[in-house]
Amino acid sequence: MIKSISFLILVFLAFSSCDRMLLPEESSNDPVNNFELLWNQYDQQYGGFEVKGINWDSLYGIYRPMVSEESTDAQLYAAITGLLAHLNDNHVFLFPTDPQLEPYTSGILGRMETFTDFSLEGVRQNYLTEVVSEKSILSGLIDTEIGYVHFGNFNESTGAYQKTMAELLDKFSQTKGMIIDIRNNEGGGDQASVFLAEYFTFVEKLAFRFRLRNGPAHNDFTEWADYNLLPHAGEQYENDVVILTNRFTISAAETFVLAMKRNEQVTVVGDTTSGAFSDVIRRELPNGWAYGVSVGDWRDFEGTSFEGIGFPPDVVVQNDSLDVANGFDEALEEAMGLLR
Amino acid sequence: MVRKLSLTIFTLFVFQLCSAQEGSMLAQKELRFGTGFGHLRMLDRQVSPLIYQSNLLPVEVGFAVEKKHRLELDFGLNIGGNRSRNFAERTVVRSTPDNEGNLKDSLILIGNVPIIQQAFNFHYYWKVPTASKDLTLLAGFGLREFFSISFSPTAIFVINEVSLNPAVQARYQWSDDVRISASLSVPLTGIMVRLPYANDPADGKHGNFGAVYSMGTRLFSPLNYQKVNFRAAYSRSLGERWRFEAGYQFYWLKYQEKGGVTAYQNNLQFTFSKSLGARQ
Repeated sequence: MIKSISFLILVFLAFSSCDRMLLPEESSNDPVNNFELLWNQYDQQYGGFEVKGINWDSLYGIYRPMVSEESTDAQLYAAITGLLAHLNDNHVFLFPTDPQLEPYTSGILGRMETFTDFSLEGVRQNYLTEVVSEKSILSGLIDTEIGYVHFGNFNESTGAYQKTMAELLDKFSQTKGMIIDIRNNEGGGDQASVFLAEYFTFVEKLAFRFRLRNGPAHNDFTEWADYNLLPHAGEQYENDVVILTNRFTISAAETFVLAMKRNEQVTVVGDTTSGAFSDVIRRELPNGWAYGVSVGDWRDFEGTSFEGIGFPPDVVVQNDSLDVANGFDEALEEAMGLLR
Repeated sequence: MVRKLSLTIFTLFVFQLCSAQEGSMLAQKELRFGTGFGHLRMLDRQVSPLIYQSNLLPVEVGFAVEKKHRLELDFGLNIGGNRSRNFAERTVVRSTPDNEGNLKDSLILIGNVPIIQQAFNFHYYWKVPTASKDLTLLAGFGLREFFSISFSPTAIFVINEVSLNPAVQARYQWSDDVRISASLSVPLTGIMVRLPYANDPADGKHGNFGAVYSMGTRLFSPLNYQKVNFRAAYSRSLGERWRFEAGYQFYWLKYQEKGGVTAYQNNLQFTFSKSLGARQ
């Protein structure tokens, strides 16, 4: 019996490293192949070429000659980031494993040096007269008439948001208006953003629609898929709402804005959002670098795309960093004025 | 259709159990449970250009009934760690502003991540007459359901196969106590579920899992899916009702859609089985 078990173990060990015989060759880890694979991946899966009017083939002709078999990591990085900059997409990133190379973001967020137009601590200290919750979200009252809530992301489950909204609707039942602050909101899931928007919806309607790449041609997409707003009967906030946005209101936070703007009592104040509505997938290269590809085409209910541009607020207020540092939030003041 | 298929299989199973009861002097029923060690290597180009490898802990339970025919039901679970063959661990840095406008760096560790595999097998065999009383040959079919999932920060691997497999099995009674067996099956047709083309399970109606199935399900044939399932075992009787088995399991698969996935897996399995009827 020992001999038989030993034989089986030998067979197991022998077949545990048969990659050459049983698997195709792994993609070659050289600068040229890394560039080619990345360019091809975007060519096959990026969803924004048509809506942004980008000629991806011509960009290959410009940036591919910058890479050779002898290129260093820094030279490969320069070629790839130069290429990706043309996408102007805050969801598109390159994370090299070389600590000498900076993480890269393609859109405006990759070019901004400061993000000091918003301070949540400043809001809490200078504006909230009563704090309702400050565990996963900050919520409270601005005097007795205006409710305030800040969402930093939309990553939670709909079950968790159900509890959150039940608490908020109870606490804000006597308010004249509500401020939903989604500045510096890094996004999350569209299902969460639509679920939350339904608390402010009274009639079923289309929130937004999207389609995903499903073929190698740049206009190969799935059929349009709709996200619809279905009112949470009996659990709605009926008074006016102001949403606060800035340039780091991104992804599912932006689809939340698209959904909320279908409700008449909603006004958007602040700065233009990020312009990165699409879902993004993470990929990797043979050299281990990670990168992101936006794979879809997201539109509002009228079929307008804000990809790469951002959703413009109804009332533009761009906070001054010095004001914010001194505890004055001009966008929040404007929102309060609209609700009083 | 899945419900009707499941009901049919369940009815066959119960019928066999009942049939075995009538002539229970000759019917052999056994319960099996086992564990061992497994190793997986795969290249899934739809998801990553890198070969990934996993070390797995398999756990399996099974039931078999044999009289004139043989019926087997097995449920297996493999749990382990999955990582790139070339990169044991990578760290990438992500910078995002916090709520006070300060850029904060967060480290994303890409290393060993969990992998879970689950398999459910139903096999039905007919005995093939042989000249030797020590040699038992069986031919039949298997219905297999195999699911594997692993999430890495840079790659999500999902595969779910439901297939009809012609199967053969051979058993040789080496001595009173020792038996050697081997089995082989290949999928003929079935359904394969993978991530959709965009690698993004979003359809506006379902959650992630539902969307994977609604968007990523395809019929397959031997033209686009090839797989070989092989098992060999040495078993020895441990008295009246118990048996110990040392087995080797192997599969190799190749699916040629959307970039394609090729994988192979070896398991060493150590199984105890208990006869519920006549001596084994």
